[in-house]
Amino acid sequence: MIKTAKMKLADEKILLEVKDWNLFYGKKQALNSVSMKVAKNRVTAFIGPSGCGKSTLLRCFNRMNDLIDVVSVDGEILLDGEDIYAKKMNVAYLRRKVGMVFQKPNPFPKSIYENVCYGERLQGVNDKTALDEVVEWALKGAGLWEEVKERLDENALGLSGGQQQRLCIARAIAIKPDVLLLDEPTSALDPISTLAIEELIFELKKEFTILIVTHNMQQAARVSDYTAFMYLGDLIEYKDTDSLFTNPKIKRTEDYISGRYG
Amino acid sequence: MDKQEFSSHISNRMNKNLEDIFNSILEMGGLVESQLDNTLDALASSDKSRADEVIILDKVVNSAEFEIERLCANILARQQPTASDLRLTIASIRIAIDLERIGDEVVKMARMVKIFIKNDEPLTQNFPGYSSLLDMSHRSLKMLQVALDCFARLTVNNALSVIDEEEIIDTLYKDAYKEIIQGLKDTPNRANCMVQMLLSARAAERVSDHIKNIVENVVYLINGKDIRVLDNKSMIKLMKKMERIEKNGLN
Repeated sequence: MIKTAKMKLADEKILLEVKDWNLFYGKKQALNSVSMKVAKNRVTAFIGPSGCGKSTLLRCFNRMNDLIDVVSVDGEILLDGEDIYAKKMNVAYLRRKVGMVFQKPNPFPKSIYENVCYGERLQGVNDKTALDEVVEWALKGAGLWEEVKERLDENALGLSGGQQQRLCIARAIAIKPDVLLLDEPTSALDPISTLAIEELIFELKKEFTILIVTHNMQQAARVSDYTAFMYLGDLIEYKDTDSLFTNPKIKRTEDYISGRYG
Repeated sequence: MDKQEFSSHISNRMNKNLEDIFNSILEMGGLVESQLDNTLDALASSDKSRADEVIILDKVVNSAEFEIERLCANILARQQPTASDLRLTIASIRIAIDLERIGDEVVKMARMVKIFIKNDEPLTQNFPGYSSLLDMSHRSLKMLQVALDCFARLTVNNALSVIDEEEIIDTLYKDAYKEIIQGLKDTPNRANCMVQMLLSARAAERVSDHIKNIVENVVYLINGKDIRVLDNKSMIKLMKKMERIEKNGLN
């Protein structure tokens, strides 16, 4: 009999660990003592109503919040056991390990080729063969190679929205990060492009650990292995997606995922 | 309708989930088929070990139903299936329930065999209702094979025979019922075995009802029509039409 074993965090290899994490915008607390473990080579989705702190938490994983003056944080976030908020942590190094793709596709106004190898060039790689290899690998990984291989020198802004977003994913994976943060990566795309990106996410988890923030609950249900439901800065429920969507244990989660919230 | 439909989505996970559901039904169907086959052997030759096998296999059948239910609940909650995918999911939940019930019914028949052995009551053609019971069970096994074949090939070809057989089994049950009641009057000292025979005959009749339900669900899966509301005449008319379309296309 076909039997798919239920996923359990306890059986997973843990890549990221959040310990008692608090974040304040000025005096206002946006994340309240969040603690969670993120499994390696899995897709973890964050869902919750606007303002629940899911994007804020996502941005903590590559210290994007450092760019906002009023933000202060407290607690620990460990990447492979290393405290990413430690004083000695090199933020540029961290962001190489933890890549990010945003809601709106934001390719640089350069060629498709240059967009993908941008990170490599920044790191001083200029060898044409090496760059060619990276560009092909990343574009294949992002499921875009077949569509653009004949026009790598064309401006990336000429691509469709869905293609631009896959290009951004290619750009993010070109530097081979450990973690890929996706902040509502399909909210600006049509349903078919959305399905293509969701399928891509499923494929990419073989090589990367993926964290995704989405307003679309069904998307979280479709693509993720684990789901975290957040509300007003609290992590309310966090477990394997099968259980969360078929049998949530907390009433607030149930109300939210079944559309009774509010 | 083609099975390929279930494996042509952009999402590979959706393809896999649907294939898992589809294959699980076939596998569970195979289990129930062998349960029914063993029941026939147990009935025909008062074979206790065969009867035990039927009873043991029922646990496996029950857990197969749980698993299919779980697969279907997950696909509904996570993949939001629509159109034929949704119909496959719904039909599979219903078919799994019918298969599980068939398992329960044949266990009743297997228990009867054991009770006869325990009471030193031989299962012979002379025992009231026995030959009807054997006939019903034979027919049910063939019906189940046809129903599962319809599901596996997504076709209504031969499905009409299931509807016809179910009616024949209803008549056989009525005959068996009369015989057994007469037997009870004639030899009240054998009441225990007589009642067991009556329960088994009733179980065999129920098995055919469940198999008919399976075929109804295959029709629902293929063209979305719920034929449970139809009388037999309209049901047969619709299925003949579907057979024609299958053979010749829509024209």
